[in-house]
Amino acid sequence: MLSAAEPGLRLPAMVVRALLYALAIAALVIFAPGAQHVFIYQGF
Amino acid sequence: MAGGAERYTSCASFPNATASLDLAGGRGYAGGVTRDPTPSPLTWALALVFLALLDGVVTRTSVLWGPTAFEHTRDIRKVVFAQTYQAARKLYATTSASPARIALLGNSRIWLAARETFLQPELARLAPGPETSVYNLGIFGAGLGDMEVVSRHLGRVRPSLVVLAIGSSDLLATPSSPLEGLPARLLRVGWADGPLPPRHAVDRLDRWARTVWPLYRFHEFARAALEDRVVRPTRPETFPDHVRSTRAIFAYMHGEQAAAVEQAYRAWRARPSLAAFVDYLRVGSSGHVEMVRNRVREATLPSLESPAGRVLDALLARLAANGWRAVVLLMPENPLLDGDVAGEYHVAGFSAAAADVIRTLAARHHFILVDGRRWLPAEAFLDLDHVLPELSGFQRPLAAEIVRALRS
Repeated sequence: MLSAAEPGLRLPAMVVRALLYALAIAALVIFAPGAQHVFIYQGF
Repeated sequence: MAGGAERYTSCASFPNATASLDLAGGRGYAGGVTRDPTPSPLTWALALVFLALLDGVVTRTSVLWGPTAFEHTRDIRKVVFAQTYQAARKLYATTSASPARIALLGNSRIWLAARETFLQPELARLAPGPETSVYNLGIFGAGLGDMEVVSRHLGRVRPSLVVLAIGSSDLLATPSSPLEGLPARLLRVGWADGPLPPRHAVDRLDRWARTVWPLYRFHEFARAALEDRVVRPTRPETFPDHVRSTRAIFAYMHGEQAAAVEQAYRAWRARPSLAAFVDYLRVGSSGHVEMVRNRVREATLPSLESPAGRVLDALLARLAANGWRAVVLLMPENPLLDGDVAGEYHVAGFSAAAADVIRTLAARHHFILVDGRRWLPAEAFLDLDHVLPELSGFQRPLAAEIVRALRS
């Protein structure tokens, strides 16, 4: 089996790990609670 | 310092280990190898680079700004969110080579009355030549505080002219006519507090985060856009480009109830009076009638020192500070209200007092005030506040005022 500790895999592992972190942060931001989508407009 | 990868226990030290490729860096059992979960600073730096790229991929492309179904919702509970999204798209994802870019700020009054598809042909007729680009940034229910927040983004379109379209009731600051609402929460940016300071410190932090981080600024829209692409709402229907009859607009607004509304509308046209008009409104827009009555009950005469006066002053100050030409337009008022002697649907003298405040503030910032309150007859109105889209002909005097302002 491969290990991230293998010298040749350290850089790709770091890149993939960084990408996963970035995706996780982006998902947290996008799906975090925000302003209410529902706002009842009574003008009509 | 050595990063997490460097501190891993190598397979060479544990020849029996069967570790798989560890990407997440979590501490746990992996074939007998325990890993240090601490990522290196380089990993975090790289993550930030990826995050910036992801930010760009979402907020600068059709992922966020492409056509969506939710923006065409006819669910009145969701329409403010949808229209705020559309305004943000016009500000952030529309490019125009046109030398004349007209930004319209306001609420449902201008959203309905000056759709781009109504106004641009009139402008082309009055001023042939390079096409004028109209950005209708109206949002249903927007108060002056919402408009002030939208104005913080106007630099995106570098407007040749800003038309601030307001009604006298926009100078109220009551539950029926609030100064700010959802648009201000969704689009707030800026380092300094605006004329309406945040209620809580967390709101200020939220504004700062929206200021520096586009993905966070638009995270509600991004979520809606992504959800939209996975689960499309049924029966989205765009607002018509052109409105040829009251039947068409009632069909859009009232669906199955349209025929009854049309019948009631015909009845009031046959017997024109305020009472008949209210009877027509009660068939399809009873909420509007109640809102207007509540607005009257809550009303106090406007003044320069009122919260609304201060917000309008700040809004006009921003337009002036940016060097944008602006027209402050007092939107048409339904002449039927002249017959409201009981004061059920309007407050006598309120419109004149509001106009005085608006006129004073416009003059303070050297902007043109156009008083359109008497532009249109009663039959041009959809209800007590709004003119009939396109059918009213509102776009014609508005286009004339825009051309006059651009040439002045």
